Amino acid sequence: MVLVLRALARLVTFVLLVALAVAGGAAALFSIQGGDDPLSLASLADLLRLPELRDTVGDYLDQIEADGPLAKVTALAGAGAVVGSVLLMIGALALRRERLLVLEEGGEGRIVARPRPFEQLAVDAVRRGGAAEARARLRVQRGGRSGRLGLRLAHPRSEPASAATKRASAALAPLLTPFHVEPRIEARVAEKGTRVR
Amino acid sequence: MNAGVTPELGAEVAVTNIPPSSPRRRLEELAAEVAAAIPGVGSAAAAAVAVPGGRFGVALRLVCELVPLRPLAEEVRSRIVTAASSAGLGEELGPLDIAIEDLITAARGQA
Repeated sequence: MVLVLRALARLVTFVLLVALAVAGGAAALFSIQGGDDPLSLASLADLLRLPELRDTVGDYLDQIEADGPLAKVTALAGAGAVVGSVLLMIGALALRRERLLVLEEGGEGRIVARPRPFEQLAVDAVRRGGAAEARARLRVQRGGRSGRLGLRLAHPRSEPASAATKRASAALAPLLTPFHVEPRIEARVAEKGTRVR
Repeated sequence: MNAGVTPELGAEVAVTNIPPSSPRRRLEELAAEVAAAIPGVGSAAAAAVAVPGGRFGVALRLVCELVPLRPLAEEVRSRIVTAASSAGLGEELGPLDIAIEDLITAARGQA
């Protein structure tokens, strides 16, 4: 639920920021001239049909003030907007707890690692194995006792992708196997100019 | 488990209502000092919380160098247990949770 709200909050934020940027750009552009010139704010208001909009909104507000079905629909829409806003705030403000990979657990305590150092170790292992470039992302399963490591690596053009994948898998095995982390390796040919160790 | 114990790395544990010589404070300081002195550990921060049985569980957060994590964490635990016993705090030391927070890589070290 929170994940959905978080994604929705990001989408709404992005859309609002784009809209704000467009509005700001338009306002700046139409501030170049004054009066009734083409690049004036008055011209922009005409283009956006703001006078007609004002009349329409005015009629609408008059209808809301009176009793009737429109007033009820508007009240419901307002309540919906409040609920939607609260949900978006939850999505934007809810703390995200990072899942930790459990390396060891017992009566003496736990040893855990955040994904980032584990990813760094994986990249280091693969690069020492000959990969030109590598990026890793660890997704820890609920409970922290297993996970999946997505690894993208670049290999020399002279080497088949299958061989590079196999080599990377072998390099990662000592790191991943004890912690029940499965690798998912994607190999691509290194771009020209990339140094391969 | 001692959820909620999240000391800031590199910062002194901000607990003002604990006497400086209390077992809890001494365990925190001992754990952080012992861990930080171990090769492979870049920095360490510790916090202790009371657990049932009159002991203190210690949560240790480490920034390490590019070394195998579990052997290093086990070494840290072993040395802290030994040091706590030597300091007369063996009876007070409860579960020791170790969290590997980050690694110091060569690129970051040069930055």
